[in-house]
Amino acid sequence: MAKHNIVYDSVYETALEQADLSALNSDAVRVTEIRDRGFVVLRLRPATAGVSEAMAKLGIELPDALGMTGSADTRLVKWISPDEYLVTLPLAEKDTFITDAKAALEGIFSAVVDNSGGYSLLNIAGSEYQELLSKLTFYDLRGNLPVGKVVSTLMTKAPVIFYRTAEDSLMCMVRWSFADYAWKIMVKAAEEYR
Amino acid sequence: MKRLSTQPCERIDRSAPLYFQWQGKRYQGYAGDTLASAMLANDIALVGRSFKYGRQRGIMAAGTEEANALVTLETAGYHTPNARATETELYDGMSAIAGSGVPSLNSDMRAWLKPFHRFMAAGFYYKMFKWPQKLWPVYEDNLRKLSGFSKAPDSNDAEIYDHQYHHADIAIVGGGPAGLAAALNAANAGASVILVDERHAVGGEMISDCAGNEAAKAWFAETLAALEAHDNVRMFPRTTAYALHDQNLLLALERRQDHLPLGARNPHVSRQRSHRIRAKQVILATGSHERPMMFANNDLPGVMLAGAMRRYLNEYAVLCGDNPVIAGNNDSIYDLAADLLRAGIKATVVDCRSGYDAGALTSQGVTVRQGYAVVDAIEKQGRVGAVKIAQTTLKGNKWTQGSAQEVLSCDALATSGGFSPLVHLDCHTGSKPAFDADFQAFMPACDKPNRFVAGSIRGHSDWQGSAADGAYAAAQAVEKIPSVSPFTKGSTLQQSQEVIEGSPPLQKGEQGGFNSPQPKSLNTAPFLVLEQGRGKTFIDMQNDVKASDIELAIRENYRSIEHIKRYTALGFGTDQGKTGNVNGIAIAAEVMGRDIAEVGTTTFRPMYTPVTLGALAGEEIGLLFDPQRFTPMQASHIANGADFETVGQWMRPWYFPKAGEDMHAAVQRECLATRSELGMMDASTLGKIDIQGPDAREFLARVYTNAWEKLAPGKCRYGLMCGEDGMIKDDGVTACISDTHFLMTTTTGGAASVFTHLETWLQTEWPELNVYLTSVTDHWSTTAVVGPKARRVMEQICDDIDFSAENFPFMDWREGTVLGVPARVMRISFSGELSYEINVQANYGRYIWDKVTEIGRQYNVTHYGTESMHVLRAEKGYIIVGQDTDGSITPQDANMGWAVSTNKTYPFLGQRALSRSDSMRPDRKQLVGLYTQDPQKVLPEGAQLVNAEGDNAMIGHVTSSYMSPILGRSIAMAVVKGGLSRMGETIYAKPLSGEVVPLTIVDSIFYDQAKEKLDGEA
Repeated sequence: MAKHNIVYDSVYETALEQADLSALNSDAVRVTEIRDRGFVVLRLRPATAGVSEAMAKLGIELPDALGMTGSADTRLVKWISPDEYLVTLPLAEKDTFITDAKAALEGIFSAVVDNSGGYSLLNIAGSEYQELLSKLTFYDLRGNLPVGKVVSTLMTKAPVIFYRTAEDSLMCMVRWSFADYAWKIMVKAAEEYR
Repeated sequence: MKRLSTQPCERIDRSAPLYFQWQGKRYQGYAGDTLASAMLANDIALVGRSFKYGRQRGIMAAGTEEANALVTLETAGYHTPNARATETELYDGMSAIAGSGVPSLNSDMRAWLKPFHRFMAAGFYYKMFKWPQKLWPVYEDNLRKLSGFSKAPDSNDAEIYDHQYHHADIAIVGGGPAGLAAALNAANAGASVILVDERHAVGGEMISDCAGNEAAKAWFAETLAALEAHDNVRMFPRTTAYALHDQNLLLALERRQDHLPLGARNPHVSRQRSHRIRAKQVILATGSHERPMMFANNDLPGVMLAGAMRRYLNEYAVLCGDNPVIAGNNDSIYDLAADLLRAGIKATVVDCRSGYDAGALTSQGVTVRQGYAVVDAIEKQGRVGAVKIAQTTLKGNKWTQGSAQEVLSCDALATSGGFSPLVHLDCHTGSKPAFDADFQAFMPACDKPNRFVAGSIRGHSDWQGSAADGAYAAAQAVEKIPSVSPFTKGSTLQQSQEVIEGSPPLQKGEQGGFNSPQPKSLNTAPFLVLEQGRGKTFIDMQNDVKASDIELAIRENYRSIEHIKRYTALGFGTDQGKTGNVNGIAIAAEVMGRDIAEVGTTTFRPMYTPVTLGALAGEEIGLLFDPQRFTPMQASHIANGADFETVGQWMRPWYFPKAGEDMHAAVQRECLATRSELGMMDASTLGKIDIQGPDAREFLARVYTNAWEKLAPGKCRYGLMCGEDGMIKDDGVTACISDTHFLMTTTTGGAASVFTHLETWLQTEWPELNVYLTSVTDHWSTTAVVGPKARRVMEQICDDIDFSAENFPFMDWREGTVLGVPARVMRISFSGELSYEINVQANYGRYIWDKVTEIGRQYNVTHYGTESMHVLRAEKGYIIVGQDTDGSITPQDANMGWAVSTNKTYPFLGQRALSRSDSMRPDRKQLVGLYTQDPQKVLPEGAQLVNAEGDNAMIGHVTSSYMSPILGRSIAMAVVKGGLSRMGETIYAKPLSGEVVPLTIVDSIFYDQAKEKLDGEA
């Protein structure tokens, strides 16, 4: 087995790397792709013995149904289903977190899964963003998604996770392979707000 | 017919004259006109021809219920067929032509057949054109040319459409006094309110009240101002609620740009929008439609509904006749007479009842003939010129009519046969309206939860009663909304009473609360079904259904109203019988001697009014009709010139043609290059499921047919999955990451359904298994490096994995760093060649692909797509689930009995089904290989197989068929009855081309049966 000792300059791309981001960059609707986040899935039943200690060790807290805990800058833990949580964190800290989580949960029925390549993370803002999303999503994002709440729903036909961290914008996670579709349908639906 | 001077509450803007074209001729109207009001103002009486007899028809209504005035608007991309002139807002430059008339509106050949019309009753076409049967296509072709209304557009729609979702505490349908009062009352109580109204502005029938009543005018203005300023209220004018589904999902169509001149329409704004409103409570304040009176020649131009004539007068300042006759069976006709009198017109009122005190009108010169009804209308110069009236007497529920007739000359005839509440939306969820003799109408059941009706749909006939009823309904509705405070709730009802002057007092209910306000009666008389003239009494104007047709249907023993409807086509038109159906039911009741209640109504189904297909599709058209899913390598594939094919929703490179190559040539080159040197394929689309937990291994053993207990970490295994029916459902390779952690791959198209299938079993049948499934399809991107030289490339791009055949054998996987990126490398193969699949986080997928391409160039790397992948796997006899299987193939049928382990502790899914006698029949269709006896002949996939040249009995079909470049001949896979025991036998294919192709049944592994290629170059 030969050792080449070559240092590679790997290229990191996001799902919307090819999209013309200027198409949704106005005061009415501004969509930005957050490029530097990792996504880790935690599967566990919160009542299982040892889970709270493990979470304490990791410095995170499991949210209640449809809720989230932590901070978007460090670790944002989102409730996805009764035994599923999604942790969003700085990409650079992802591998360490996974290692730590696996260690902390050793012996507890759980799963720690790296899904960092699975999503495009979008921030959707602007004076008309609620109007835009109401054209694409049947969930009541305006009235029923206050800051701190998470929902899994559809954007037209793309599965997405919406959550709100600030009053005047929404976060949207769309699966990588659907990101182009979601982007294009937002561009089309936003035409009238240009 | 003419435009009058300014009327008190007219809604036209005389400072904004507009010009439009009708039948190629230029006319003038005003902003605020509908096309219909502008046509009437310009004395245009003839607007259409009837469906069957080509009879002349004029405008009969002023709203959605219009049956006659179907017009075609504009041309090319703006061509709009069958627009109702009564709903079409006039804009400058509008071009409209009649939607009917063969060959033209003024001269219709169907009208030339008048002497034969008496033979053309209901059922005529069924009876007449039955023989000879083979001529039916000729008949049909010609009949179709004669029938129908506007032509369908022949070019693409120039405009766009969209959808919008809304959520509200209360959705209110209808912006008349009931809807407005309900909206304000609910909003004041703190509820969020959405109000939709189909007209261009709210007010409903109240506008006519405002014209003669200052209190009405003041209340309307105040209420509207309060609503417009209210934060809790969203009002959508020009928006028709067309369906009400379960759990209060209300669908409404908003016409956003139809009212604008073509040049003024914003191309970025949708022409129409379909709103999907989810409301906690729904209040239907939809109003009612007036029914025409029934008499001979009641379809002449100039005969219209009384309420329509009133609207044209009050809203558009259009006088429909200088010498009108108003005929009817209820009190509302006197309101029209009063309004006409205010405009200086002394109408003649013909009331079939007796007893209404019309002193206020007669004292001012209005002629009132009570106890008389119109029995015939007489044409004069293309419109009604006189009417015949006769005496009528009501005894019990039966009318008798005098034989003496009197002729009254007139130039317009307005009729009112009572009002039909708009129960449509209430009925969309299955409620049946019930006939009420007091109202002479089918009243809404309103028996579904969280729903209220208010206003004239409940029988109210005056604005005060409607408004009070709306306010009452809102008070009831807010009671059921938890977020509205109890304090506000209590005061809502009281407030509602204080604001409406002259509203009927609420009746104290038995349990201390209030009952809804009592409707003021119009004293509508029972339906007057005349004995005479039924052959010329038109019930359904649009479909030319006459009273005599309903009689005929009953004579031919169609007794159910649903059958009568279908035999006669009653209510089949674009107006869905809004004005005709209830009259038709009344005739059926009369002829059968039954009560109307007993006859009942036909079924009201969505849509309430026609909805454009564009609005139903919304934005999800073209490339956005279905999501196109892409892998991270998409941009590189485009740069490399790939042609794509859709697999599931994924866009996969199909083949990579070089200049001048067709698919065949490209596939030949790609396959040979991969077998001789090096190929690359994007395998990112395969479904990937992360499986973890102490019972993961047991779980795999239950969902796959083969054994899993001994698969060690670092190893991969091909797995075959059956449904409970024992038929192959999916397949794929699963890697053992650790004893409690596996990574399953599924077929590209099957990923979602397999995931659901696995979750369903875990959650519902095996909750005792501690297993977590997580979809990681999108996380991983997969570059497959395939071919004899694959190892050379891998050694160059990864230095922490030993790629030697001994240390990294087939069906193993290794963790390592590829080109600086953490990767899982799997040595698995779908081609029979040495093959490594490099799995990295999607963000690095394109980098890896491009870099491997670059490094692979020294080995003459060739990208290949799904078509070559199919050829390469077929050469090896590997199945594709869904192509070589079709849900009726067991593992044994697929000659994959080796992948079935029946000695597991817990049987796998489908195991029991495989022991059924039918699953073990020796003559099941089994997967075999086929060689055409002419090696260059490639069979079409799907070709039927037979035993002998002359046979037509099918014994199977071709599932996969290709020209194999490496073998230099065609190969095919097929399912053949008992095929596995017929090796070497000759059978025949009979493709659609009509040829008969001799074939030999062979083993389905065509290439490298000894598996010498698996380890690559020596």
